[in-house]
Amino acid sequence: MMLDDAGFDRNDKIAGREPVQRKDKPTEQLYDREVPLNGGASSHGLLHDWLDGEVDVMRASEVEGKSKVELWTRINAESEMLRRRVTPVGVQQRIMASLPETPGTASHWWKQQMTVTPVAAVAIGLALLAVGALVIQMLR
Amino acid sequence: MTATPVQNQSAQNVGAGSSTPDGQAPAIDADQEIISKVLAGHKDAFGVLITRYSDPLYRHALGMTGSPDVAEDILQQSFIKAYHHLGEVRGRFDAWVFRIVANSCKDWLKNIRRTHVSYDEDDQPSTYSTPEEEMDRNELRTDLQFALARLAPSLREAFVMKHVEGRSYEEMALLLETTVGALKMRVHRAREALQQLLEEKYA
Repeated sequence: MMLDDAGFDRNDKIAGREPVQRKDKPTEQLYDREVPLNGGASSHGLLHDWLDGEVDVMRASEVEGKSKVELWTRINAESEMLRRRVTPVGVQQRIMASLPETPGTASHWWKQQMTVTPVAAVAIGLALLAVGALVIQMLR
Repeated sequence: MTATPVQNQSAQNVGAGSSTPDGQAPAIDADQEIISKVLAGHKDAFGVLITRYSDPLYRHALGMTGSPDVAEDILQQSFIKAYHHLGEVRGRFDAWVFRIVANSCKDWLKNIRRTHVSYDEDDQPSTYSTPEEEMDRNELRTDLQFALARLAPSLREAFVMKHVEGRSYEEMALLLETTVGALKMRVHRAREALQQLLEEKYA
């Protein structure tokens, strides 16, 4: 199960379809909705305050329980290990080696410089003449 | 005393403020100078930007994907994309390149939808004191990655930026172009979801 915010249930409602009951997605697990937290969620308020560095660990431990604080202490220790990670050796050199000589200064096709070969110029000229002749023919 | 479990790493460059520790020479000006050099044909100058920003960007990609190989690929592709579009940079380069990486990570998550990722392919040296401790923390690491993989990309992104990268809500709001309130909500929901997934085993 992926806890995502694709909003398929809402799409069903808009399209007038009967919403499909997903057995693997209980309705109470709506972690991703950006709506005000209800009463149930506010019981974790002090834990968030502690994790955001706003209250001390003792206070969080008293209210939220020692086990939760210990769990988050371990998660934070693991997160700090990841925070020390650096780009593996050789990646920067690989990026530099894969770059073309000149950087892009414009990405849109209408901003890009166009190269017209003599053959292409003649072809374009003939095409324009043909279009012009066709227009004149139609106007007569 | 106030405990601060999530230390803000404001010294890291990407989106972490644009000035040097003494507050005298804004890094954004230095970036602009480098960009001008690169656009003038000095390709090697781009290496300075890569060196300056690759570590925090790599950490973000690693936190989001859980795979060092994928994180490397995303980093490489993002810098190449940045190089190709360098003439379009308006404003801060660090925030601009961060958004390229962040979007690439979210695209990857949308396409792959992994249910399990791990750091098995990790080549970083171990810092654990005992084999038991290493095993214990490896298990938590795997479970944490498994739990993170079950979060919506926006919640995972908020959690990684707050807890792994140690950013302040204000920095996150600047980089993701949203409000502090919305980001607090995402981080809180991510924590609640992770806690629910992990507490049965660990709490």
